[in-house]
Amino acid sequence: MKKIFILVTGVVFLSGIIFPLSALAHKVKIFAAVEGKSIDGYAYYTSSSRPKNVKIILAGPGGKVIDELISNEQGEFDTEARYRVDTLVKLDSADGHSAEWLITKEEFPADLPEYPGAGETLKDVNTGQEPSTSLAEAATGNAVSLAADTKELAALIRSELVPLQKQLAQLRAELAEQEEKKKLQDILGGIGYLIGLAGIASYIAARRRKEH
Amino acid sequence: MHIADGVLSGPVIAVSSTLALAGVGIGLSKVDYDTIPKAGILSATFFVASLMHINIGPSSAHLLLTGLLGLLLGWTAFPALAAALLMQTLFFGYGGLTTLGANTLNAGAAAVICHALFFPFIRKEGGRPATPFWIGFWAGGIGILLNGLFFALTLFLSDRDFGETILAVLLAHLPIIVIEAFVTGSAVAFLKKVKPELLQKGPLVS
Repeated sequence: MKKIFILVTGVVFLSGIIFPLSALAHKVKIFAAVEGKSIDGYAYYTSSSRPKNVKIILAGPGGKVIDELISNEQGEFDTEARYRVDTLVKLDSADGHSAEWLITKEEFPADLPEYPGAGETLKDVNTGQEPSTSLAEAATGNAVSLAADTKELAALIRSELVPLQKQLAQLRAELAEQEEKKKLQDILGGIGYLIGLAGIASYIAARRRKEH
Repeated sequence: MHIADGVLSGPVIAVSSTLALAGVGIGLSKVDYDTIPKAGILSATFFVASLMHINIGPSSAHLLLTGLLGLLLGWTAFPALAAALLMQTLFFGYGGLTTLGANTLNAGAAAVICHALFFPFIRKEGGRPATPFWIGFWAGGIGILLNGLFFALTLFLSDRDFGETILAVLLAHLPIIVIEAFVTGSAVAFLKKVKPELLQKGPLVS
């Protein structure tokens, strides 16, 4: 028994090391971000390959479908951002995989319309979170021209922010991918748990044997 | 061939979890003192084997070793698989907690069937003994094939119009069937040479 123990353990450990850890994966993930006025994103396996032509669903509050897309050959997809609302980007491939990514309301540009029928989200806007809205409102009291200026200014600021948004999106995507990389300690941890479980089982069995 | 959370319907989860639990129970009741280390090591082997990915065309599939576990463990494969699948979910995010039962059942049933089909050939005394390699070869191949069919059945029963995609997934696994057959065949031939008792002892199913 001892010999085979050492042997199989050796094989287990070796195989963990021989097969390049970076190329291991099975889980599908999805990433999406707002860039300018569109939603861009892609689906990927944690092995860095990407699933092609999969169905992507954009869902608003309560799971109502806003949009349905098919990713392209590179696993990427993009669509026009329609509403300023928490949007759940879902992938549902037929082979038993699914993944989600939430784009929060705050990521959408302020001049997009609110999602129709989302009463509770409407309230948030009027609490003065949005500089453009509140500024514009204040402006109507004084002069119309000021309102127009503010709007122009807001648009200018937004356009200046686009490259930053892009960089941020890229960073977040990289971070999400990094988290999924399998680490050697995960593998060793799992093996340890299983051998440990067998150890506990052996102990219980040995005690039972003694009692008899 | 792990099924993720949120893919299966409620009834399918309930039924498969119950059956898997029954399988684990039967497996534990058949465990004897000497099989525990074997089950532990094979459980760890299964855990690691799923990391060995083989890219085939657009899709990628990984080794399972369902056949090997079934051949060597019989019903005890159920608890061994359940533990390894739980670890895969927790550490790697393969499969899911709600689908743990379904994944255990799919692999466990395939393993037990493999044991019933191929273990008698190993134990056969007198007459011309079958070559260990070929016993392992067939057990490995049939094991993954059955695993795939149960996987497809589970998805199908969840009332999803997956017909074509299920077929595509099964086709993508054809090369894996061949690879796994060779791996299991070599493993069994090797074990027969260095540790024949491991294969001859048969208190696991009796």
